[in-house]
Amino acid sequence: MSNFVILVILLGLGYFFGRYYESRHYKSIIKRENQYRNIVVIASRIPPVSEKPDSTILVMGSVVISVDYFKKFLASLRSLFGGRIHAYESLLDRARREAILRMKQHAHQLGADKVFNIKYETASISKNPRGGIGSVEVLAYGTAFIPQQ
Amino acid sequence: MKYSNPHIPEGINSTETNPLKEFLLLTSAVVVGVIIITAVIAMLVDSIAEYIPFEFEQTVARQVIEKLNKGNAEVDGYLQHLSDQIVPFMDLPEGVKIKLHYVNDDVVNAMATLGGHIILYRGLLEKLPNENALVMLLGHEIGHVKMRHPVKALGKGVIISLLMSAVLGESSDAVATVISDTSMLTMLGYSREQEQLSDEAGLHVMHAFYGHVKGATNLFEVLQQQNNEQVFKLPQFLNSHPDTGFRIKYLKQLAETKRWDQQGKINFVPDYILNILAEDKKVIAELQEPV
Repeated sequence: MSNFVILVILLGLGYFFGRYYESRHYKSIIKRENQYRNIVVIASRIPPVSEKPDSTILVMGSVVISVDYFKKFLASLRSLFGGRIHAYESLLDRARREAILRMKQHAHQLGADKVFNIKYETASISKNPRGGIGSVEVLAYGTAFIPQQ
Repeated sequence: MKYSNPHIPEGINSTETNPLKEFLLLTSAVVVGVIIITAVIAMLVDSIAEYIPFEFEQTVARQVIEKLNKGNAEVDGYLQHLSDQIVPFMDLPEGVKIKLHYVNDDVVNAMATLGGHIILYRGLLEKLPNENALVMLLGHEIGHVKMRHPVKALGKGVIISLLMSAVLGESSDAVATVISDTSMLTMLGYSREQEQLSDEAGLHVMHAFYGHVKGATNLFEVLQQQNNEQVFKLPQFLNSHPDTGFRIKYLKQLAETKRWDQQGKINFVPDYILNILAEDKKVIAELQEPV
């Protein structure tokens, strides 16, 4: 029974802190996305033909986000019933957008105005035995183009 | 070429849903599902149990009973004799035999296990004020054997733990806790039901043996006192036995509806048995004394 009480406490903590951090993170993501909109990211591998070629450099941004207890619980309930895991969808959405933002920040610091050939890598770290809380790493990288003066 | 990154609307890759609603829906689905599965298993096992031969129970129980730390043979004999006297009133199924075992231990308990073996601990025996309460206790335990409760409990336990290990391997510890606790609470409900049926059997045999049911509640008064001494009390739904106060009330009610005489002669446990119990208590107390 004490297990059950601990479970309820952990679920409550997970829910309230998880919700708080998530909404705070989204606000910050949306704000910075507007801030860095001038740096264009393009998935194409082929850069524009130019008479004055830019100098290029690899830029990347990576982020690690942990799943909270509540999300984990919801996901493992989903593993019994099937269906979309909404709780993880928002987690990964945040991670991808944050990774791009960090990559853009990197590009911005180098004076780039666009990033080509961008790619994502996703890895789940702390893939520990059952019961452990998982976390996810998203890495975004691409080739930044710095205009020649 | 002109490149641009337009503003992408929210809610495409992740939908804003109410996680609490999803949580409540899924959790209640799990709880209801586990209760239904447990109930179905319990029903199946209960109906199959009658067909499990009693010899099978005896074979399984033999190894455990051999390891039992048996107490004084004279007490054993007295209990067996008393049990043999009341068994004819209990209408046991054919082939079912009752074997009594006295164990010199402070535990205030008694139990019926597989193969018709009934284990009585000194801790409970020495607290019983009279033979009538002892007959109630024996009747209760023999009632368990008669209704095949030990083998039913074993069957349920085995099947449910097998199922659990299959399901729980897939889910996290947290979900496992919810599933196993739900199943356990459902099983406790069945356990309380079994205890009540055995109480009825005990009262019935008291009436058949003595012609009255005086002293039946003495057994539960002992248990109640024991319960009162505990600092931490479990709520009813977490208990394998019904609330002792409720059991006393229920038995009184049952005696009234059946119009069984609640007054009558009280018989006492012979002095030589009480002396042995007191001796045994001393032996254990000396063993436990710090050196």
